[in-house]
This record gives sequence, structure tokens and C-alpha cells, in this order.
Amino acid sequence: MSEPVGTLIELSKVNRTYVGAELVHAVRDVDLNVAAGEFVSITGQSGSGKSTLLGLLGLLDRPTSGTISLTGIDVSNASDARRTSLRGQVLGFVFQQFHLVPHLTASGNVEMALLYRNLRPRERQAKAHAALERIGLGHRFGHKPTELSGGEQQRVAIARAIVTDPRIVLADEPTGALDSANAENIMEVLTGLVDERTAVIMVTHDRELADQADRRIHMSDGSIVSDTTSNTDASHMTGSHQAPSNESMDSPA
Amino acid sequence: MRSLLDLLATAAAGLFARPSRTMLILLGPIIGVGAIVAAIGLTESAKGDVRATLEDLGTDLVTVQASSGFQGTQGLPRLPEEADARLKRISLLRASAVVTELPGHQVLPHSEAAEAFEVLPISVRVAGTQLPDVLEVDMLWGRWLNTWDNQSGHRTVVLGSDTAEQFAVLPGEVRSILIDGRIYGVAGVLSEVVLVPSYNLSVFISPVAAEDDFANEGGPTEAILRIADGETLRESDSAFLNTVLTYGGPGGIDPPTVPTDELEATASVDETLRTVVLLMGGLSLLVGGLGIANVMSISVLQRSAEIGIRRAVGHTRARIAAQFLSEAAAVGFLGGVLGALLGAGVVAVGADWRNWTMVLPIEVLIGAAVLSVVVAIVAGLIPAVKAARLEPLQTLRLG
Repeated sequence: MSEPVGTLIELSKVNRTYVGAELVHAVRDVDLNVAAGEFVSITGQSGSGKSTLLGLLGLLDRPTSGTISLTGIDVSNASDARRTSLRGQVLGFVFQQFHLVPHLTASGNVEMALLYRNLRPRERQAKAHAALERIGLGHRFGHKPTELSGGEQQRVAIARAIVTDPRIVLADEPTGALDSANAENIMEVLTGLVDERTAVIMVTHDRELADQADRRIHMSDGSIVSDTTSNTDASHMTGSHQAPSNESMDSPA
Repeated sequence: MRSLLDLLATAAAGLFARPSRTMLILLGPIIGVGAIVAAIGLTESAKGDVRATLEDLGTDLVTVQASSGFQGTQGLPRLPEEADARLKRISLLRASAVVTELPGHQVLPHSEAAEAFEVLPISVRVAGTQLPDVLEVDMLWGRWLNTWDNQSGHRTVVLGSDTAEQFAVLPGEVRSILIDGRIYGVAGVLSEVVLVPSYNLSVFISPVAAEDDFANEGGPTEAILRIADGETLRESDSAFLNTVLTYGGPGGIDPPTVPTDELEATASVDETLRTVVLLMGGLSLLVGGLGIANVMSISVLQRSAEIGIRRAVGHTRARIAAQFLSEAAAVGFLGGVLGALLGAGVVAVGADWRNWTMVLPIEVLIGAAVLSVVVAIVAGLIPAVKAARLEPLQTLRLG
């Protein structure tokens, strides 16, 4: 099966079950294709499987069955080392809790993503500074996370995610810990990434934020129940994605 | 190479982020290494001091005692009369002097002191003019017996340092003492003879005086020898000396003694103390290692989010393990270096206090620091493995 150029993520019949006291189907039979430059939001209630799906997309987890391909590479059964290496190459993460290392400066936190890549400290610093400049924090290089506002911290986290020029950025409730003004700013930054042909996948429970994405996926009980694409931004979609059969269904709030 | 530098920088940042905690876990290695270095350094310095003293005294001095009488009828065993001349011919020796002990004579500071000095056995010894030169001991004051004393048969005496003290002889004082009631003029006092302590409680008279006053006949009772430079006294030399001295005639010598060897043997008794301090140092290093393991295990839990994000941005499990191992190793190294400095300081102060020359082999400092690093790395293994095993999915708490 040859996919159109630009397809970054291909999920086919992906299942993820947890064996505990009882069997939990966290993700059921998910098919999903995401192309470069797509801004995808995933919504759903707690336990709908959106976090599990994000974990699978982020190569932090392996599917119980089905196949996952990233940039054409089948990672369904990839070893931990292989998945780690791919994470560093093609993925960027943004978390609700920012997850900045408290004892490192803004620059140090961004540089962390560039460690062990055979870069001279000066090159690494230059790249980190460029990434911080890009998200408007050029004046905050040497500040510790505690000296930054929540919005600034999240922007540092985004700089960390994009400093490696990833093809895909995964954002988990990126504005969940921020006020509306800061949230807006973060959304602008993410939209900016999309304009540079990075695929952004954002998990959120906020309907309004989700609606800002070109493509909105709603999950329930481990399955994708709706997958709608904004007509206005259809121009972004260079590659075709398999539209689920229930595309037209309105997702419940 | 750059990855290694990245690793070290990361470890250093992790340690400097929590200075007070790092200080606390440094204490174990510092105390352990400090104790080990101090134990070795102080005992080495003490040994070095004994060696320096021995060096000063000269380790080539040998004493020889007659073991059975040549003339053999009365008094102490004697060496042959020709002993002095025979010793002078041995190339193994660079100097020699013979001495004759005359037992059973009463030595008193004055006639009324007989009762007081009844119990103090002061020996009368007959010596030639060369004895202080062979002993390499100076006069405390005055002069040694000279050729004139011997030729004239004057009653001249030189006192050992303890004898002079017992007789309360003042430096430069014109004094006389009594040997069996005969008045002898004191010519001088010999300085302390460390290697032949019996000489300190002796008085020395010339051979002619001994012959005239005490009817001394026959050879000497003992000999003081100096081994030639570059030679050592071997086991076989005992028999050789015996043969040379007796020429196959009757009599003989006891095995020669090297007084400096005996001094050195007494000095090494401190080994037990050194072992105890070494064990204590090792123990505190071990406890320090446990402290590192303990604190770092907690640290791994506290830093699980950091570990998760590092894994997310592409740091492998091995890198995470290496990061924590490096932190442990850095603690061991820093503690080792500081401990070595502390130990060296203790040795310096101790040596200064006892007026020793500080002896601290550089190998001890390096060895102790390396031991500290090894202990710290072993201690860091469990936390490092724990950190590497953390699942980023769990620590990052998605959703």
C-alpha cells in the first residue's frame, strides 16, 4: 500500500488493551492517517482513550494489535531503543504540566532535547536560542522555570519540542494550566508550526480550542466517533486521509 | 567524546541543582577517604621519622660481644688480645673499636656516697682513643681519653651521660670520682649513646690505668663495628667475624647485633592502630556509599518527570542510567578529592605537631580517591537502573 506523499502517521486497526483486574480496551480498532501540515485536535471525555492514543502516537507505548507507521516506518513492534531514537528525530512533545526541569534555565531546558547529538555546546546553544526567539522568548534564555510565568513556561516547552525540527508535534492539553490570554498565545504558536508544515496533534477537552484545529477528532470508549475537517482550511490537506464512515456525525460535547 | 561531555555537564547540573543534598552525600566519602589517607599518612610519617632517626644514627653500627672466655678464668668472656688488630684488617668494616668491661668495681662521686650508689650498677669500661669516632657521638663537654692519658697512666675518666647526671656533674666542673676508692679526674662527659644505651651508665678509663689500678689482662669483652659503605651484614658474616677474631683459637662471639634493626622493630608496633583506623575509614566509606544509594533512589523518584521528558526527547535508557551513574561517580570523585585533601591536612598537622617529616605517598591519595569513586559508582548502580527502567508514559501523566 503506497501512501500519498506527505502522510506522516498511519494507524491501521490499532488496539490497545490493558490486562489488569479486568480487560480494558483503551483503544479499539482505530484507523487514522495524518499528513504533514495538518492541525488535528482530539477530544473526548476521561477514559475515552485519547491519552492512550497520544501515548501510541508518541511512541511511548506499543499497540496490542494493529500497525502504526511514522514517516513510513512501521513502529508497531519497534524496540524501545528504536522508538526512543525515532522520538528524538520526528516527534516533539508539549505537556499540560510543561515538564520543564526546574534546575535548568530556559535555554538549558531547550538544549536538553539536543544532547547526545554530537553538537558543540555553542551550536546547541545557538539552536536553542533560535527556537526561543521563534516563540518570542529571546529575552528569557537564562531564566529558571520558577522565574517564568505559566505561559512563558509552556512556550519554553514548545521551544524544546520544536528545536529538533520534528515532523510531528504532540500536545497534551497544552493550555490546560493557562489562563485564556496565554492559551490564545500558545494556540497561535501551534498554528504557526502548522503553517511550516509540521503536523500538530493536540489532545484537549476544551471544545473551543479543539474547534481552532483544521481537523477535529472525537473519541469515545476507545474509538474514533467523529473526524471532521474544516472546509475553510481544506487547502492544508495535501494528502488524503481515510475519512471514517461517521464523519458527518456531530460529536457530543 | 562530545556525548561524554554532554553527560558530564548534565550530571554536574543535576548535582549543583541541589547543593545542600549534594554536600550531605559528600560527607560519607570525605570522611572515609580522609580517615584512610590520615591513617596511612600518619603511620608512614611516624615510620619515616624513625627511619630519619636511624639514618641519623647510622644503620651500619654493629656490636659484637664475646661469648666465651679466651682466657676464661675470671670475669666476663673475652675476645682475643689481637682482636683490635684483626678487625682493622677486615674490608667489610670501615671502622672498629674494642671495649673491655671491668665488672665488680665500685664507682662513687665521693666517699660518703657509698650507701646511696650501692644499688646503681655503674660499669667501668676500658676504651681506646677512637671509641667516640666509631660511635659517632660527640662529647657533651670536655674531652675524650687521649694518647697522653694512656701513655702516662694518669687516672683520667670520661663519664657516660647518665653517670654524669647521677653524680650531678656540672658542665666544665673540675671534678673527681672514686673507682674502688681511687681518685679519678673527670676529663669530660660523653653525649648520649642511643644505640648502645649501656654506655650511658658507664665510666671510661684508659687501658694503662686499667692495667695499673685493676690488673686488667687479656683481650676486650666487646667490639663496636661500622660496616663499610655499600656493604651489609649478612647471616654468614657472623661466622666470618668469629673466624677472623679467634683465628681458630678458643672463644668466640655471640651473633652480632644491629641496634638500629631493633629500634625499627619497636617502631612498627603501631600497625594495629593503623589497621583499626583503616577499617574505620573503609566502614565510613561503605556507609557513605549506602547514603549515596539511598539519597539517589529518592532523587530518582522525585525527578521522575525529568526522566520522563528526557526519554520523550530521545534520551535512551542507557543515557539515563549513565546520567545517574555519572552523578554518583561525581559525588565519589569530589568526595574522594576533598577527603584526600582533608586527610593530607590531618597528616600535615599531625606531623607538624610531632615534629615529624610528613610522608604521604601520592599513590595513597590517588588510590583512596579511586576507591571512593568505585564505591560511589557501585552505590549508584541501583538508582541508575531504577531511573532507566522508569516508563515515560507513566511518569509524564498524559491527559
